[in-house]
Amino acid sequence: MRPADDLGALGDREVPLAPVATSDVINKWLDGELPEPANLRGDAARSVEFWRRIGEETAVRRQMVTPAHVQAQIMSEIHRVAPARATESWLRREVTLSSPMLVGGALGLIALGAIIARFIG
Amino acid sequence: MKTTVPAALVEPIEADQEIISRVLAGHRDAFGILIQRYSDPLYRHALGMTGSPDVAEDILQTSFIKAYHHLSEVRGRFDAWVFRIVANGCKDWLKNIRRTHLSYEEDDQPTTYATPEEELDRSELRMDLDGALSQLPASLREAFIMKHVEGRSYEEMADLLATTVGALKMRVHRAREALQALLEEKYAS
Repeated sequence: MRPADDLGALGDREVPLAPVATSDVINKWLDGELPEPANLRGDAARSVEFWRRIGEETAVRRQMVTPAHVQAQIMSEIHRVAPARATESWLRREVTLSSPMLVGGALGLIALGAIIARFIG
Repeated sequence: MKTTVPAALVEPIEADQEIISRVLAGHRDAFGILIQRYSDPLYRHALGMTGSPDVAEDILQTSFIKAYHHLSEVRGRFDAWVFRIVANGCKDWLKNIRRTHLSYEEDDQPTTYATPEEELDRSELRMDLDGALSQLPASLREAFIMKHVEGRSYEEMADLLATTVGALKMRVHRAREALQALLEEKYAS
């Protein structure tokens, strides 16, 4: 018998193996990119069963809602404090200078200049 | 039989920006619409991150009050902005609790389940899952909670966390791997 005949005979006898669920397949299933892997055995079957149970638990958590009293507490706190107002950044705010402020600023600059001159000289 | 609702009866959904303008104009009650609109997913996020209903309520309350005070600073989507406030609140809480080595009590765990029987069946898995989640780094826990508990898409998560879909997939996959390693022996039989 030639080697090729031997291989052919083996090919005829080949039986399908149970699909292998790698972590990649499990992740794709959990990400919704693949259907749930079926007909698994061993570790792969246990992994799928594990994530099915975790999925049931997370589905319950997904239905949880904010306790009713929380919104009431927030609103009561909001009514207690000053109202929110549209505010402008201090950089954009218009600055008005009075005459005394200008004189004070000028005197301050002169004094600062004198101090610097003394240190340099 | 197919029924249709007359267009006039369909209540238009007021855009967040319009509500914000009303609040800033002095109508404080309008802020309640924003709370109602977004509190549930934010509460689930805080609950998943902290594992404690009391702490989740506190974080939610503090975050919405902070949001109210800084409402004029909202640029872009309100829901994404307020999500970041809540997410940062959760991370700060986690940092503090790790630093002080405090642990929350079992009585403080989530208890919103349908029936007492279901509560009994699930209580062990619930506590084990909370315990395993608390062992994950905050970034992995956050990604897992957003994907599996909040049911968000990777694109939505990337938008909210200002990162890439690829990075988030990696975090979720690593979180799954870690959780499976921690829990599989007990629950995969």
